[in-house]
Amino acid sequence: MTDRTPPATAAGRRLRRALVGNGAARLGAVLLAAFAAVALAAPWLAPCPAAAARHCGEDPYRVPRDGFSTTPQPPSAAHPFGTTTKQHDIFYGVVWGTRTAFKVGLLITLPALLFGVAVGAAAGYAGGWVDEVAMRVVEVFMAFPFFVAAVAMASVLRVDPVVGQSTLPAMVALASFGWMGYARLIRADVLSVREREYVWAARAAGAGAGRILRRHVVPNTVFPVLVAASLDVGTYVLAFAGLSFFGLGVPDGYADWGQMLAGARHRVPSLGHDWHLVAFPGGALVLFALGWTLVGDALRDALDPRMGGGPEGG
Amino acid sequence: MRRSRLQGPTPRRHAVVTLILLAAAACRGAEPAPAGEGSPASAPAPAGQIEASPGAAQAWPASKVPGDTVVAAIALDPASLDPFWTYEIGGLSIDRMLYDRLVDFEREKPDAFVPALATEWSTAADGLSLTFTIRDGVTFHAGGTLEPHDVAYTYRRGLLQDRSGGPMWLYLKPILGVTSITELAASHAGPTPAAGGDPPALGDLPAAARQAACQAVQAAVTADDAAGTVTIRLAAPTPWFLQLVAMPYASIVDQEWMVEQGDWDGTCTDWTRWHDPAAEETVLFDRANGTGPYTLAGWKKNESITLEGWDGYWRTEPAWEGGPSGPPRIEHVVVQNIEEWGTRFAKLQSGEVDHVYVPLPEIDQVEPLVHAEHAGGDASAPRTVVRDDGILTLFKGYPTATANAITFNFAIGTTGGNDFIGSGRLDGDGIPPDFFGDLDVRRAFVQCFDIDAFIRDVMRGDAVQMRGPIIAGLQGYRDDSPIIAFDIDACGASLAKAWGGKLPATGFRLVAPYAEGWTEAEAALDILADGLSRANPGYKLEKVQMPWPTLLDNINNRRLPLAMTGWFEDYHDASNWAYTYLHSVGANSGSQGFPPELAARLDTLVDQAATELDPARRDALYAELQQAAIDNATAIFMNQALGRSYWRREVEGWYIHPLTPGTDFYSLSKPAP
Amino acid sequence: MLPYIARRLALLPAILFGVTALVFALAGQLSPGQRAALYVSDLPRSPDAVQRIIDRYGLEDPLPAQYARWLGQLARGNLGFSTTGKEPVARVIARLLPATLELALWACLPIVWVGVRLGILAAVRHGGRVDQALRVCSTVGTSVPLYLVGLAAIMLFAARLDWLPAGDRLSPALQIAADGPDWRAPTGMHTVDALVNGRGDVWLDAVRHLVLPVLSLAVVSWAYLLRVTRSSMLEALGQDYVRTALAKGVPRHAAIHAHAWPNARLPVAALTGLTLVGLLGGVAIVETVFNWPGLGNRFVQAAVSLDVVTTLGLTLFGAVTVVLGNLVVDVASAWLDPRIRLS
Repeated sequence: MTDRTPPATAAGRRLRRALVGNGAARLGAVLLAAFAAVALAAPWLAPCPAAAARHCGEDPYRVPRDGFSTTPQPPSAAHPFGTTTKQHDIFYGVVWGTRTAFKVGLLITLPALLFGVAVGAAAGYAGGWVDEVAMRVVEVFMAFPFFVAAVAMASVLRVDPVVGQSTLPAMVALASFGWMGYARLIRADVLSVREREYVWAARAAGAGAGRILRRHVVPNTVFPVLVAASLDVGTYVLAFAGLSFFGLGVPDGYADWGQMLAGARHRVPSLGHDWHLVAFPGGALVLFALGWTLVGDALRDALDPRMGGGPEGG
Repeated sequence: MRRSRLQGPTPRRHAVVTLILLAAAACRGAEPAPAGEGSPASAPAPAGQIEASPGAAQAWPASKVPGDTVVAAIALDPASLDPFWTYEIGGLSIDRMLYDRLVDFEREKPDAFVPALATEWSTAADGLSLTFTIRDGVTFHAGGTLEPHDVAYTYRRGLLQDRSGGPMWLYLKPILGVTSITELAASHAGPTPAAGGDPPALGDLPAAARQAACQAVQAAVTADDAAGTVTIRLAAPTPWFLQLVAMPYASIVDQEWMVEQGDWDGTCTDWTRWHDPAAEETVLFDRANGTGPYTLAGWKKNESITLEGWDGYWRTEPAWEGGPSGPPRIEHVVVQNIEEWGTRFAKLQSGEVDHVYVPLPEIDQVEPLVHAEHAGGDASAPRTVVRDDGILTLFKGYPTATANAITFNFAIGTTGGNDFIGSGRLDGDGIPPDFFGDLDVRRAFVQCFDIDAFIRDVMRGDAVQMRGPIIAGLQGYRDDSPIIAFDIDACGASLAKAWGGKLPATGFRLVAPYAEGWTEAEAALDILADGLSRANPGYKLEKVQMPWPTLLDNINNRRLPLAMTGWFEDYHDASNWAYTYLHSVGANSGSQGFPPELAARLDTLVDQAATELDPARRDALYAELQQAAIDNATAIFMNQALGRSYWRREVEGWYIHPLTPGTDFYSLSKPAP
Repeated sequence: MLPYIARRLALLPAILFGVTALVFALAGQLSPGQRAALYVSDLPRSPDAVQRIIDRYGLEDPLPAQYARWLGQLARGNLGFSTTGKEPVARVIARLLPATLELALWACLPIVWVGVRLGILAAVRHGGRVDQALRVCSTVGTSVPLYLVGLAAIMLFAARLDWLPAGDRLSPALQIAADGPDWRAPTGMHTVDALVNGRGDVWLDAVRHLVLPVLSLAVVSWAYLLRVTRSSMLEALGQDYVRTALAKGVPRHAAIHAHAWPNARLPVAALTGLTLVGLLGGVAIVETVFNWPGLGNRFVQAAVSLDVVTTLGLTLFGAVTVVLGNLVVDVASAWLDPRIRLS
C-alpha cells in the first residue's frame, strides 16, 4: 500500500524540516519576510516627502524629485538614503521598489510556471505527437539564449506608448523565455508518474484525463518544479535589473532597484563619494535575490539534490 | 543641423537613435560644447562637489599614447562618411580631416576665410555668381590630380544626390532657389502643386522634367579646365554662401576616381539612379579619396576610426599666422566610439586616451584631473592653474552655436487618438487641441519656466539665456531686448486670463514626451511642471520618456503638445535661426502649426530678411523677428550652450570652430617635454 | 549515436525556421512607421519622407510576404544589410565573432577550472568551514548583477590601481599594428594571432585586456558551477565503492581522484557545456561594459534599435550555436559515459 501514498506527503515533511532546521534557510525566510513587511508598509514608511509634495502624483511608483541639480546628494535628514543624479529620493525608491521587486519576481515566475507546467504536463501525459510538437516548440524557445531573447522581446513591446511606460514589457519578455525549463522538468516526472499504480487506479475508476492530471499527476510532480521556480525568482529580479541596464526596464524615476542602479552607473567612477547611489538599491537587490536563493536552496536540498537548469542572466 | 531636437544622447546602447542622439551628445559636450562661468578654483566646492575623489595626492599615470598619436574617446560613430550625405557630427568631424574645401575658415572665425583648394575667389557685382581659381599641383590620396572639373562634379553630384533629410537643402536654396531637387524637377514639369499637396515623387515626373533639373544643376556650377576656374551661379544673393563653401559638406572629390568606383558618371542621362540613396549605397559611405591632411586608414563600424597623416599634403604655407603646414605632426589619429561613460573615464584616468567627451552631469567627476583651465576656446584664452598634479587642460565658457527651446504646438493632432491631451477638453483632465492657440497660455508657460534653475542646475552654468530665436553675436540680437521673465505670479495671472478665465477653476492636464536618455529635456519638463503646479495645483504637466520609434510616430502626426528641441546652426547667420524657429516650414517651427495670419507675417519677414543685402536694414528686420517671437511667445527660448572640452596637458594647438564639428587634428601637436 | 546525431541535425532547420518565424512575428507587432524609425535618425522634413522609407523597404507588405522575402534572400546566402552595424550582417558576424569567441573561450578557463576545483573542495570538506564559506560566496555570487561586477572591476583595477586596461581588446598603438597590412590574422583572436606573428608584446597586451572582462564573467558564473560540482561530488562520495576504497585504506585524495571524481564529472561536464552556452547572455553585458567589440554588444544595439534584419541574422546565428552546442554536450556526455544512451 505504500505505493499508493502520494510522495508529496513525505516531501512536505522534509520540506518543513529543511526550512526550520537550516540556518541559511531561516536567514532567507527572515529576509523575505522583512522585504514583504516593507512592501506592505510602503505607504507609511515612505509617504510623499514634504519637500516634494507637489510632485507626488496619483502613481506612488513615480519617485518624487527634489530639485533639478544633476549632482547626487549624500544621505541627510531630509533624504535618509540620499538622492540620485536626478534628485529622486533613494529611500522612497528603495521602499516602493520592494513592491516592484515582489511584483516583478512573482509575476514573471508565476505565469512562466503555470504555462510551463501546463505544457509539460499535457505533453508528458498525452505523449505521442502532442509531446513531439510541444517538445519541438520548447526547443525553438530554448534555441534563444535567455537574456538575449528577453532583450529583443522587451525592445519590441516597450514601443507601445501605454504599455511601454510600465514594468510589463520586460516582465512579459522574461516570462516568455522562462517557461521551458519547467515544462521539461515536469514532463519527465509526469512520464514516470503516469504509469504509477494510483494513476492506473484512477483511470480504472473512469476518471477523465483532465481530472487525472489535476488530481493525481500534477500534485505528485509539481514539487521539484516549484523548487526550481523559487530558485528562479531572485534570478528573474536580477535579469530584470539587467534589462534596466540596457534601458529596457522601466522609465527613469520609476521605483525600481535595477533602474536606480543603472542610473547610478555613470557615477561609478566616483563611488568613493557617491557610494549611496549603489549601496542602497544594490544592497536591496542583492539581499532580495539572496533571500530567494537561500530559501530555494533549502527547498531543493530537502526535495531533490539535483538541480534543474534555470535561466541565466542579469 | 538639427541637434538633439527631440532626442538626447542615449544611454549608451541604442544605436537606434544613436547616430544623431550621440551626435547631439558630442555637440553639446565633446567639441562644440557647452560650458559656463564655472566655479573659480579658489571658491569653496559647492555641496556635492567631488573633492578629488581618487586621493588628492595620487599621481595620475603617465600618458600611454605615443607622441605621434592622438586618441580621442567620444560617444559617437559616423552614419556615413559621404560628405554630401551625412548631416551629423560623427561623419563631418572625420570628413573635415580627409578632404579639403575650396576655402577654409580662418581658424576659429565663422566669417573670415583663407584660401584652400581655391587660391583666390571673387564675387560678381550683383552678388549672383562666385568664381574660384583652383590650385595647381594638388593630388588626391589615391593619386588623381585636382582639376576644376572635379570641383564642378563634386557640387553637381551633391545637389543631384540630395539625400532626403540630408544637408543639401542648404546649397539648393541659394544656388537654385528650391529646397529639394524633386521640387526643382517638379517646377520644370508644370505648375507647382497647390500648397499642402504632397510633392510628387521624382520617378513620377516626366523624363524631360528630370532632364531639365539635371541641366539646371549643370548650368549652375561650371568648370573651365583651361582657365583653371569654377563658377557657381546663385539664384539670389546669399551673404553666407562662402560659409557653405567652407563647410565639410562641400568636400572636393575626384571625378575620375568616383566614376571608376561606380558613382554618378557626371551626365544627365541616368542621374536619378544615384538620387536619394541609403547610407550604404554611396561610394563614399565608408571609403574616402580626398586631398586632406589625413587619409582614412580604417573604420571599424561602431568602434573606431583611424586616420593616418598624409605625407603628400599640398599645404606648404600656414593658412594663418602660426597655423600648421606640411605633413601633419600627429601622424596617427584614433577616434574611438565608447558609449559607456565609466569606461571612457577610466581610459582617461589611466592615460590611454588624450581626450574624452564628458557629458554635462559628469563634469564634477573630472574636476580632480584638471591641471589648468582656459576661459575660452583655445590656449590664448586666460589660463588658471587649478591643480599642479592634474593631467588635463580644460577649455570652457566659449560660445557654441547650439541652443534649446521648448516649442508649443498651436494645432495638436488628434488623428489616431492622442493620449497627450487627456480628455481633449477643458475639464481639468485634458486640454483642447488648440490650447496653445491662446497667447496667454503660451506667455504663462514661459513665465512658469524657471530658466535660472535650468541653467544653474541642469546646464551647470554652461549656458546663457536666449532672448528669442537668434543667438548672441548675430544680426538682430540686442542684449537689452525685452523678454518674458520667470514669474510664478504672472504665470498664474496669465492663465487666469486665458480661455475666458475658466482655467483656475477647472485646471488642466497634459503630457509632454521626451526622448529617453535626454536628461536635459527631462529636467526642463520637470522644471516647467513644477512652475505650473506652483501657480495652481490644478495645472498638471506630466512628462513621459519615449523610445525613438514611438516618438517619431507621434511627431509625424503632430500629436506632441509641446516639445523640447535643440538646434546646432548650419551656418553662422541669423537667417538660419529665424528660419528654423519662425518659418512655417522651418525645421522646428514647421510642426508648430502657426495660425495662418501669424505664419504669413513671419514667413514674409523671414524671407525678406534673408534676401536683404543692406546690413543695417537686415539687422533691423531680424530685430523685428526676434521681438515678434517674444511678443507671440511661440516657444520657451531657453539657452545658448557654452562649450567645454578636456585634453591631456601635453596636447597643444587645440581650438574650437563654432560651426565645424569635431577637432582640427592637423593643428594639434605633442611637443616633447 | 550516429542516428541520434543525424536526427538532431535533421531537426535543426525546423528549429531555425521556428526561431526566425518567432522573431518575425515579434517584429509584426510594430507598425510600419515604427520600423521606419530605424532609417530616420532625425526629424523628417516632411511626413512623406517616412512613407518613402516604408515603401523602399516594403515595410507595409503582409508579414508572411516579408518573411518569404527574407527567406529567399537567405537561400541565396544573403543575410541582408545591418543598418545599425553599417555593414552586411554576414560581415558583422565574421568581424565580431572572433572577439566574442576569444572572450568566451578565455572565460571557460577560470569558470570551469576554478568552479570545479572549488566544488570538489567544498564537497570534500563537506560541512566544514571552507564549505560554509564557499557556500556563502557562491550564493552571494549568484545574487549580484553582472554589470555591477564589471563596472566595479574597471573602477578598482583600471582607474584606481592602474593595473589593467579599462576596455577594448588592445592598446591603441598595438591596435594600429594589428590592423596593419603586415598582420596575419588567421583566427582574428589576438591571443592566437599574436603567437602566429611572433609578437609577445601583443600577446601580453591582449591577455591584459582580457583579464577584467573574463573575471567579471567568471565571478558570476562559477558560483553556479561550484554548486553543481559540489552536489555531484557529494553524491559520488556517498557511493559504496568510494566508501569501500576508503575503508580499504586507499588515501583520501586518491579515492577522490580515482573513484569519486570520474563519476561526478559527467553531470559537471554536461552542465559546463550548458553554462557556456548560457554565457551568451552575460557576454552581451560584459561586452557593453568593457567596450568589447563583440556580437553580444551588437545584438543588443540592434534589438533595442528594432533593427529587424540584424536581429534576425544574429538570432539565427545564435540559435545555430546553441543547438549545435547542446548537441556537442549531449554527444560528449554519451562518449564519456557509456551508460548514457542517446535516443
